Amino acid sequence: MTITLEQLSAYYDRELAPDEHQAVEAHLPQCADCETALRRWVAVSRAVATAVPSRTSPRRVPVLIVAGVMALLAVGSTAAVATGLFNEVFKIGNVSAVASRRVTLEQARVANLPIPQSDQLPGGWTVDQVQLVVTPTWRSVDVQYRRPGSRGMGITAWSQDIIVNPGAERRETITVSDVPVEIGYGRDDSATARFTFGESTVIIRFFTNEVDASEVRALVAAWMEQAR
Amino acid sequence: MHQHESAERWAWLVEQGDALRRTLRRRLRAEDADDVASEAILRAGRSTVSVAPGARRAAWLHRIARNVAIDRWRRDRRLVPLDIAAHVTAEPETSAARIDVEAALKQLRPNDRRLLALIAAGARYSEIAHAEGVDVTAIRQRVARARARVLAALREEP
Repeated sequence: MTITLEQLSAYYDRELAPDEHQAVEAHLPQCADCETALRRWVAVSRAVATAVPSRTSPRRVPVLIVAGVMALLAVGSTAAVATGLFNEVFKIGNVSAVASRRVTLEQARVANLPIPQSDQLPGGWTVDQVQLVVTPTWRSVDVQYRRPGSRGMGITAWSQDIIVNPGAERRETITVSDVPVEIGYGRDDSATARFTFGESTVIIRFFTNEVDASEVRALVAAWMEQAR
Repeated sequence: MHQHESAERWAWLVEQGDALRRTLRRRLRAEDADDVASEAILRAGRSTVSVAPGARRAAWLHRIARNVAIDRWRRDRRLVPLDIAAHVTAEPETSAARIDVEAALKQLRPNDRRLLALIAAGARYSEIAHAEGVDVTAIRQRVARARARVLAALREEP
């Protein structure tokens, strides 16, 4: 069977429906051209998204810096430039600004999103890792927590420009400090709590169904208190 | 797929386990890497796709691992998206086929570069479509056109 370049490209991004995905998967081991295309796209993804060793002539540097600074201004994260968090935006040509990296809780505040003050939340949760994502259209801060005997928990705050709808088999809504919190229980023993805080969408993801509505309520309340 | 092919493939997959985990551990946290490797091996073992032994089969396993990693990132955002794009390159271009990616990127329009960068950072077609007020199909076509230009530019390299 024939695979179009558009299908191959969507396969690469894991954006195909299951039957189309299967068809491409079955085709690939028989087609050297498609495999080569995928390998090249991997190289391109890396080059376009990560820091590229700068071989730019000095004359062009100011243009690139202006592009990077303007992009960060657009998302309200000039502090990210000031703190040197996203130096690489200067090195990726005319891409506006794309960066995703591990930071400290303090450094993540450049995203101007609600983030808790302390690295502890009730229930024995301690911050394990913080991930900051800044793109031209949205920002997010993802804080991963751990506690003994648990597979973990993540709390992500998204900027207002993005809508995130985690899938769920069953949903219930509780209210915490007058804020509606939608709890979704997934098929694969995962649960999410989703609510709006200021202009941000906040999602708490539990990797197992080890929490109930009362613990979600306590966590959301403590998080709001700290992030105010 | 014949039964003997399935048995032979499982034996090969079990052998590949350690190597795959090591490759993934360079990019992911150890426990994530181990989970992704295990799930990839299971998916590969259950797959009905026929793949001949050799380099082709190694590439196939790495594609499955990449898909597993992307699924996990989308489900709980525990993995770093850039790592997803990068971890799969266990199979580097040989020197004869060395490509100048930066030169090819220079031929892309700013909008196309921006689009590819957003996707490499983990954005979904639906998220970009929503942000730009267009249909998901339009994004899918734009991405494919940008990638086609990349391939064309790479082919023109000496």
